[in-house]
Amino acid sequence: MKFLKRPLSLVFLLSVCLFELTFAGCAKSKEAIVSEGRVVELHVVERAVEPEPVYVGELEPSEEKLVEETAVEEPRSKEKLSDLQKIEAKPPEITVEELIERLKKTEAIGFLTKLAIRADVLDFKKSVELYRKRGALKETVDTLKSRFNGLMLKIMALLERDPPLSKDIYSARESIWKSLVEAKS
Amino acid sequence: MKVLFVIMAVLFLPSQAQAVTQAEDVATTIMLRGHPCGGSAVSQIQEQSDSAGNRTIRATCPNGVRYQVDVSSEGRVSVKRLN
Repeated sequence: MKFLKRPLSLVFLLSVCLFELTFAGCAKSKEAIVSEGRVVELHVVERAVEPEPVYVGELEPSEEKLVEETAVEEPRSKEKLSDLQKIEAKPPEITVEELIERLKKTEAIGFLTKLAIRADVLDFKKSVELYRKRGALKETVDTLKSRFNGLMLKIMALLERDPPLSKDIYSARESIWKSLVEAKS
Repeated sequence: MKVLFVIMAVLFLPSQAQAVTQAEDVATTIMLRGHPCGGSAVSQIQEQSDSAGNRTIRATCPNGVRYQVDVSSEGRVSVKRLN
């Protein structure tokens, strides 16, 4: 305890303690957000991937208990990881109606442009209906799909000023396509 | 610490979609119908509408070409080159 008598070493010790406290505070604040978003899910994943090292050797009884606890926690973290993977694999569920509403409300596209896009979409829907009535839908699916992709690209290019909506439309394009093709008249 | 967090949140908040002007809207519509415009905003906009609800917009693109945009009462949009 000789170093406690020296003022410099005391200052150093205090600064180390302060650093540790702030670091621990940051970690706690990170954990506090856990329930809210994916960003924190990643934090949990990091933890799951890097488990704390388990030291095996001659240990005191209390230390042995600690080792047992960490060994029990490992499968739990694996379960958490698999659950998170399941959540991440699922695409966000956005309905076509919701996207249409958002397209109507967005200020990234002007009124005339919205009308022009609406006309294009209606034309496309008409042509899908026409092919379905003729019974030639299966033969023309490829050409219709390429037309649909072109239309989606056009819309996404127009939504340059509303990236969240553009991203959502891009992620929901397959479900939109399915709803168009599988819908029965 | 909280103040710093608030500043960071304000800095990195996703910005809302900016509203487009009529000049940009008309230019985009002209390009969407496959006509060259040479810029993202038109000038010299003239608007007319009739009793049936049809609208006619005339505007000049940055490349000097004047177009007529017809909007029918049903919401159909067509573009014609005037010069």
